[in-house]
Amino acid sequence: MIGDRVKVITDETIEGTLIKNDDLVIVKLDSGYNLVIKKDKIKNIKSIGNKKENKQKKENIKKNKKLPTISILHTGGTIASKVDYSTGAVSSKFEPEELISMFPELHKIANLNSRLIGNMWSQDMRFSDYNLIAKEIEKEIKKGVDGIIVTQGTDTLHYTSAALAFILENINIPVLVVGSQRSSDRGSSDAGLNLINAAYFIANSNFADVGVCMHNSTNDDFCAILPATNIRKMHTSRRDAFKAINSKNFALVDFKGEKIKKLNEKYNIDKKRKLSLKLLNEKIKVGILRQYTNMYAEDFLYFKNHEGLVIESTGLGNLPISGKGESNKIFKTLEKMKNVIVLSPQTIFGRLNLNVYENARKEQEIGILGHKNNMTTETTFIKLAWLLSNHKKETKDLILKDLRGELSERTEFEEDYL
Amino acid sequence: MNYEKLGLIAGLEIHQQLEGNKLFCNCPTLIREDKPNFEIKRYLRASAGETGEIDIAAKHENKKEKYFVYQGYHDTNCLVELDEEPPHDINKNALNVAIQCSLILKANISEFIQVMRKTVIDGSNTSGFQRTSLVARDGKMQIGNKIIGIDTICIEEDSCKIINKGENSTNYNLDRLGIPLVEIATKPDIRTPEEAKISAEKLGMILRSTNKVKRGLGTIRQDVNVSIKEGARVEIKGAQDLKTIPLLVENEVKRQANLIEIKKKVKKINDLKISNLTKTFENTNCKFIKKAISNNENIIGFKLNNFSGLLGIELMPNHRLGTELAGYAKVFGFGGIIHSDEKLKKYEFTEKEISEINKKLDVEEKDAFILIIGNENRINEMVQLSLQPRIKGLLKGIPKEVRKANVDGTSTYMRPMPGAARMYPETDVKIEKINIKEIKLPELIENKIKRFEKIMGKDLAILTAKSEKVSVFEKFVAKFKNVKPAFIAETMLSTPREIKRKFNIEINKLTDIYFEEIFNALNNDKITKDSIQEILLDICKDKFISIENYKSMSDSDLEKEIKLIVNENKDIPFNALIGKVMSKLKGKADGKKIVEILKKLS
Repeated sequence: MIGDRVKVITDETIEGTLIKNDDLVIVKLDSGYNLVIKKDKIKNIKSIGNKKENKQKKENIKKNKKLPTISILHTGGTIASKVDYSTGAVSSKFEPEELISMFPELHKIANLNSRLIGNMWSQDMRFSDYNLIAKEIEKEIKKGVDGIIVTQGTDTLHYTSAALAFILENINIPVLVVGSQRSSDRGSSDAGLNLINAAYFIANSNFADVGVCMHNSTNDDFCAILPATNIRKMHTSRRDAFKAINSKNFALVDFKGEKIKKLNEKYNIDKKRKLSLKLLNEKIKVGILRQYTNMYAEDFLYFKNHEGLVIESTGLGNLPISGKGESNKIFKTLEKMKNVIVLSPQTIFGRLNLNVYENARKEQEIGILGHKNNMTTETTFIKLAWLLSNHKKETKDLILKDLRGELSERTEFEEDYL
Repeated sequence: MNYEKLGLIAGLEIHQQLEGNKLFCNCPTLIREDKPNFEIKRYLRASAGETGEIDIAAKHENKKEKYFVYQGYHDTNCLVELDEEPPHDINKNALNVAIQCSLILKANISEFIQVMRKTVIDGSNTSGFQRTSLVARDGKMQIGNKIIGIDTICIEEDSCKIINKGENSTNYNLDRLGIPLVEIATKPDIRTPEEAKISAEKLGMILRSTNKVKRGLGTIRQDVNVSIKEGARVEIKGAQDLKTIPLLVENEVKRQANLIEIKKKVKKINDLKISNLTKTFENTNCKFIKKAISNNENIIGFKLNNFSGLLGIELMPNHRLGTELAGYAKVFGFGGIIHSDEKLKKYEFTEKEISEINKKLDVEEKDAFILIIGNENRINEMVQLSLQPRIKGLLKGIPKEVRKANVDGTSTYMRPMPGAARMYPETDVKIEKINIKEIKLPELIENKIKRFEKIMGKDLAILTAKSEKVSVFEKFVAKFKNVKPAFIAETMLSTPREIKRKFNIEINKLTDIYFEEIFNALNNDKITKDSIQEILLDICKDKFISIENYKSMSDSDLEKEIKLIVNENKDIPFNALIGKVMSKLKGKADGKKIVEILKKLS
């Protein structure tokens, strides 16, 4: 019945396409507007014509041997949508032919494989999802593709990019995670430019590492190739929501101007090294606790059975343990906790230093880690889980050693760090 | 013209901007002329419909591959207009105005409001769509003895203001984007140009009766839909002036009738074969061609078989078939066309050049030619996509299209008529229930005028009823019972104009707060009517400190003061004495009273 042409009889007679038939009945009028009617106002709905079946023309796309092959793996974040104006319904598109018909520019850049590997909401993602994506990437690499684009919803895209950077040990081809901040069903979507620029960068650089490709500014020109482990979603809605933190973008890309500006070449270019998959233990529990004022010992105690805990601490890494009363209780609680506790900077920018204040030295004495940490909270979290999964015994030794470019020994001066 | 015989059918679509905030964000609805604070650059991508076919109008725009530059202001634009933040909830005040209009027009108001996205990809909306929602359907209004049906009443976002259009880009200003528009569309019940005008006037009056609409040039835009028998529905957009509406309709009838005549004359149209004629003009005297050649542009021409004289046929006053075709080149960014039915000598073409064109294009007496200046590839593309289909279309009659209203009452081609259904739901905004019970019906201006006429002169009644200050006026009338309504109206509406004219001074400082203070003082006999002009003038000059300074004198003080003056001027005639006293005490006391006291004393 949905999609049928119907006659709806209330106090008047309405003709249109039936869109929804619940407590609220929605009929799309011939003018294109939706009319929303309460079910109990309706005397009768009569179907007067069946849903129009749309014929899909499939174009055959020939492979161009001179161009690299890129596999696009969709995790459910929609990079390409079509609107059916007869019903107003938006449908996601994943087939290579469909992608090329929507973004014809891709055809000149690369041969495409494209498939849907899952249907994950960004905010619902779990360690098992990261493992799944990594396994699918490995499959594609075994097929001999030249690069991979993973599309994902943006909310936790920086967790995914960090997880892939750790899981895909010795990655030897470019892997770019791409999202969009404006839905792909609208003319102004950033999806197309992010996708095309990602493909252009894969096809035209020696990059063989994990990165992220998103808008660099509000303008539709350059996209940034961001480092997988040093980024954060810094805005709820802007196209340029993703920013490098305590680090620099790898490059800026503008396929229209055929420009790639390299900014930071601290990435792998070795395409001969051997990839090994170091998956996350899906049962491992790691938590994140954001420090705030007026905390109670029980706030920390909640995480006592987690294998790892990241505390996003204030300032240089000062936990609320210096005073008497509740502060002292918190100290005693932390002292007794057996899990690996790592501090990360709540300030987002800068590096922790647990030597400066007396209380932070006390933290070090009871085994709390985080001295000189300048990783984001999210990367600290992923890395802790990954170490507990793959290097359990050395977790404490490795958490503050640079493995994937996530930690730097030097903080370079920038006129504006924001 | 016999419109009945020609089968004229017309409808109106009125777009009225509202005061207050924007429809989906809290930005003010301020149109600005000052230098913008920032610019951003965007592309829009035509998204394919489910059938895999991009809407014809959308395709037409996309073929031109353009980017858009949006200019904005930090303090009056926000991320919503930049398409960098989801829309906020719909502006309830604006929605209520649309509901008020629907009630007045006795339309069937929807129980729920669902905001839709109407795909627009000429860049005039940063999002690639216009947010619009249907508020009511099936209304009616009476004009004379006739009922004009109202098809729909919608509330929607206004688009960006266009700054300029280049070959590859269009510049827009964000100030207008998102201003709430009430859109009222009539049914095609209009049968004469005059009816179109009266209908537009009536709708304008209804809209203004809500007292929530913007006023001034550009705040109301009228589109007319026109067709005649054997013609086609053509939408003419953007009539800013009521007066041009009848002319627009009349001219469109002429255009369609003349195109039908041309259709009868043309039997066959050849494929357009373009030739590069740049060499012909190597030593030309024609200044714009000389300039074009120095800019490495080409002069491209093609022949039209058996077309002699046709391009010169006037479709509308000062708008020939040639002018009409030029419109199809202009939408692709070209300056226009030159054709053989023009007086080519006015361009300083030589006989030799003309005969060479004819020779190269193989043009005989019975044929015509068209020349276009620009990049050869782009001209070729434009001819294939725009000009050739239009010229061949002369055989079919009148294309359904959207045209732009010109100031002289003619119109120019804008784009093909978009397909009907390019809408899908705006999923970022919740479906909203309408509560009609909360809505108060405004009194119509025409009824207000009748009511005011009972308490003031006709002209003042009309002025007051139509004024934006009418609701403040009514508040003052209710509050200050000792002051005559006519005097309140005069003071608020006429006196400021007089002051402006007489003293050549800006009167925008005369805000309602001052008027309230003045009427309050007048109501309590603290000041006299005679002092008001002085007070208003002082306010305009920034000299007003306190109403106390204009207080009228008590009777005993007044008598004392007058006595003094009389004693000083014992020998002068009575009339001169009055003058003297008046000039000294003007504004401090009522004139009548002064004369009374004077009479008593002398």
